[in-house]
Amino acid sequence: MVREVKNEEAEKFLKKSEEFYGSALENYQKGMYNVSIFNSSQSVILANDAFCIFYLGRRASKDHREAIQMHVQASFGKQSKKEIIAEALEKRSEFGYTQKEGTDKEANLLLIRAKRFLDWVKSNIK
Amino acid sequence: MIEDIINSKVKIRILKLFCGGKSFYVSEAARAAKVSKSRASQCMRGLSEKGILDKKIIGRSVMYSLSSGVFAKSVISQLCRSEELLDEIGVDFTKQAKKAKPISIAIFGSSITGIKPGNDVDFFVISAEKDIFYKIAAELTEKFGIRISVTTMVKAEFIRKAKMGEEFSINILANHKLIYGKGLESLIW
Repeated sequence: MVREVKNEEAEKFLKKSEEFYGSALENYQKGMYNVSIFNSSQSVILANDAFCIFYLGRRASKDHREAIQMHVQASFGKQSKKEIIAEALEKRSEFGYTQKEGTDKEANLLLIRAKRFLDWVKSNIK
Repeated sequence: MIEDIINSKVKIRILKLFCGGKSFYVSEAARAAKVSKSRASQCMRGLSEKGILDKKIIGRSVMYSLSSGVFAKSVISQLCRSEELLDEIGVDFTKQAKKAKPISIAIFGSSITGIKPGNDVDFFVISAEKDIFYKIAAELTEKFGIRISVTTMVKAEFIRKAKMGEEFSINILANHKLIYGKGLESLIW
């Protein structure tokens, strides 16, 4: 279920997203690819929450489809980044909750996407 | 000072609407800039307080137009030329740089979406050469009156740094505009 959140809270979600990105980068550098993938995904999800809160005053529940729908709605005519969110949500489930091992390539590419998305959100809500 | 006033992408998008000299109601500007009405209103009010836009109250609506002041005119002329200028610089740089057969040329940093007043243009070049690109940057800095910087890396160094998660390389991979040669991500994996 969608949750109503005050617009001012967007900044806090953005800060959390930055922390997860920092941890994703650090873990990637240490070769901890599963943790890096999980944290990159988390960074994208939190940045999307910040974006949706800033423009719509609400954020998605744990439903993946809802997060993507809300992102498109909040993008309001801008070219949305829904592919990055879909990928992040998929990877988080795939590597965070199953026996599957992430590779350096998967972790590296997701790290780049997470950084790209985080910077995009920052530039759009400032 | 200009950077303090035009400190967001949304403000830039809104201000660019005024390049043609037209006036806008908040709702019109919001529609044209594809932002919410409240965001447009907040940005336009901010630009008006800084003397860039003039506001006129018409009934229950507010109409904004570009201020006739010298400062406002200077800001808008830099902004309106920014994308066209970036393309021009990119074309000139690539034309001269091609002689050194670089693998890739990209623009990175704040100028990706157009040159903002007071900012540099940063090129990233994958090549074994260095000096020729510095020379081109110096010539173009003089020609355009905008500081143009170049960072070069050889292909193997870039791949190694990106694969080890070096921050600068990851940042470039995440945010760049390729203007010549092979895609940066495709070089890594």
